[in-house]
Amino acid sequence: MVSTTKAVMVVDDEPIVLNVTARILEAKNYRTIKAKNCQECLDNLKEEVPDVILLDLMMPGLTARELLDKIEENERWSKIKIIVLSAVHLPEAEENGLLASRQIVDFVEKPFTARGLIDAIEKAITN
Amino acid sequence: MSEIKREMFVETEEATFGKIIEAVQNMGETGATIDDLSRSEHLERHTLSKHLNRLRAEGRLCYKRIGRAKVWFVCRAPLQHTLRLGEDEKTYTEKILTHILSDIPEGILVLDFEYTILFMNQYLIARYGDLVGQKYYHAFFGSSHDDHGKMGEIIEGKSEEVQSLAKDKEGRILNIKARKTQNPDGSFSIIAIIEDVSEKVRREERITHLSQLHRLLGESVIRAYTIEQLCSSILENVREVIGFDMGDILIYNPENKTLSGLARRGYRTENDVGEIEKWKEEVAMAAINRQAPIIFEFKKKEMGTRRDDECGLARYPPDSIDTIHEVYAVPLKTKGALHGVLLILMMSGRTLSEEDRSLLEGVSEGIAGGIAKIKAEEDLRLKANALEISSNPVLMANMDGKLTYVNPAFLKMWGYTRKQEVVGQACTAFLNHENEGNVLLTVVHEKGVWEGDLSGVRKDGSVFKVRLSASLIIGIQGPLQFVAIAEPFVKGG
Repeated sequence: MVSTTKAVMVVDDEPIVLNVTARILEAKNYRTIKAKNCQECLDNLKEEVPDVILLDLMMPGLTARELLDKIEENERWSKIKIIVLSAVHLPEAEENGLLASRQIVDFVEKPFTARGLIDAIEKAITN
Repeated sequence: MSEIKREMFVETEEATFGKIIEAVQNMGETGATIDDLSRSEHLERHTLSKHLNRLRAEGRLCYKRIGRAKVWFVCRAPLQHTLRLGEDEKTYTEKILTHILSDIPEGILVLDFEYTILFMNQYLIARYGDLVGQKYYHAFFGSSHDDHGKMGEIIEGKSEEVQSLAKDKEGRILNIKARKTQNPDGSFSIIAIIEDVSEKVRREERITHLSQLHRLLGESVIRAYTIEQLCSSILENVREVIGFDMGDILIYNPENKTLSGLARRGYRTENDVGEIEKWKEEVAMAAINRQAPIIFEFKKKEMGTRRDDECGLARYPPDSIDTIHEVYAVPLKTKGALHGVLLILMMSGRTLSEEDRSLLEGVSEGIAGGIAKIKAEEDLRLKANALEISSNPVLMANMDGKLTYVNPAFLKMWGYTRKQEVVGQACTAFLNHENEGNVLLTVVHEKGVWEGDLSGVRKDGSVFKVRLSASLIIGIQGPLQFVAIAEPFVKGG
C-alpha cells in the first residue's frame, strides 16, 4: 500500500529551528526529513523526493540559489514545491534573484507563527 | 704635547682669535682686508690667513669677495654665509651641511632680533621666494607686527625656545619651532625650523570630523523617529565635514515614481530653492534610474560638459543658477529598495574631491539604512495599530508564560482598564483552571498550535467561557513567544 502521508523536507542550519519546525509538522501528521544545510538536502533528495521543501535561504556552504538551480535541472525533482523560510526580507530576496525558481510557491519571513507555517504547507500541498 | 702646554697653546690661540675679531669689528661696515689686519695685528700674511680661515670655518668671521680680494666681516649669519660660498670654498662639513639643508623637507629660517630674515633654505625659497632682508612677520604673514607665532617671546627674553602653529598669508598652516642662538659677535639670532603641516592638519581635522560624522550618523539613525528628522540632522553634519555649497535629500516614491525634497542645506533664499527644484528632481531621477552615483560637471553654458552622458539629463542648470559647477547625485539604496537621492551642489570654482565623493557614498548607505529602519518601524507600528483596534482579544506571552502584550479588546473582555495591570502576569492567572493553561502552554510548545475552549476569570472574579487559538512564534534561533487570539464562546459554535 502506498503511503499517502505527505513528506516535508526541512532545511535549516539552526538546530533548534530545524527540530521545532519538524516537530510542529509531525504533530500535523506530515512525515519530515531534516537537512542542516543545502548539501545535506541535495544528498537526501537522491534518496527520497518530498512533496514540499521548507528552505532557509541563508546557510553556509552550498548556497540556496545553487540548490534551487540543481533542483530545477533535475526532472525527478520538478514536482517538489518549495517554501522559502527566511529572515531575509521579501524585496531583498527578490532583488538578489533568490526567488527566481518556478518551484517556489511561498515565502515565509522569520519570525513566523506555527499557524502561518502550517497554513503555507497546507496551501502548497492542496494547490 | 703635554696637557699644560696644550692648554697654554689654546689660550694663546684664542687670545689671537679675539684680537683678530676685535680688529675686524673695529673696521666697521667697510670690513677688513688681510693687509689691514696684518698691519694692525702685526701678523705675517700666511699666519693671518691661516687664522682667518679657522675663524671662517667656525662661523665667527665671514668674507665677501671684491675682485680677487677678500673683505672680512664679523659673521652675523654664519649659516647664510656658509651656504653662499662656492663649492670649492666650503669645507667637507660645510658641503654636507649644505646638502642636508637643501634636501631637508622642512624650512630653515634665521632671523635677527629685529625680525629681519638673514637666511632661508631651499624649502622656504621654493614656497615663498627669496625673502632675505625682509621682516619675518610681513614676509610670511603679511602683517605689520609680530602677532603670528611666538618669536617675540624669544626676543623679549621670556623663552629660549618656542613652538607654535600659525597660518601664513596664503593659508598654509606652519609648524614653527624656534630657538635662540648667540652669534660670533655676541649678538643673538633665532634659528627656526618651519614645516608646512597644512595637509597633515587638514587630514587630522578631517579624521576628527569623520569620526564625529560616523558617531553622529549612528546616533541619528538610532534616535531619529522620522525620516525628515534623520535626513536634516545627517545633511547638517555632512555639510560641516565636506563644506558643500548646497545639499538636498529627496525621497523617492516608488508607487508613482516621483521624488520630493525632504531636507536641504545651504540655500540662501527661498527663491534659490524654487528656481531649481524641478531641475534637481530631474538630476535625482537620473541617479534613481541608474541606481548608481552620477557626477555632472558644468562649465560655461556654450561649453557645457558632463562627465556622464548616459542619463538623458537636461544639460544645464536653469539660467539663474548657472554658477553651479558640479552636481553629485547618490541614490539612497538598501537591498531591495530605493529610498531617495542625496544631491550635492558645488558652486563655481569648487569641486568635490575623490575622498569627498567616497565619503558621500558611505554616508548615503547610512542614510538609506536609517530610512529603511524608520520605514520598518512605521510599518510595525501600523500593524500594531491593527492589533490595537481589533475587536478580538489578542495576547502574547514569553516562553515562561508571562504576558508581554495584550490589546484593548483583551482588557475589555477580562474587565481590566490598563495594560500595566496585566502585562508581566502569568497568562494562566487569567484562566479559571490553572492546569488548563499549563496544558495549553505545553501543547503549543510541543505542537506549535492549540485551539479550544477555556474558562476565563475576569478582574471581578466572574468566570466566562472563551474560545482560544494559540500559536508559537519562531525566530531565527528558535521559539520566541506565544500569541493567542480569543473570541467569545458561542454555544454550539
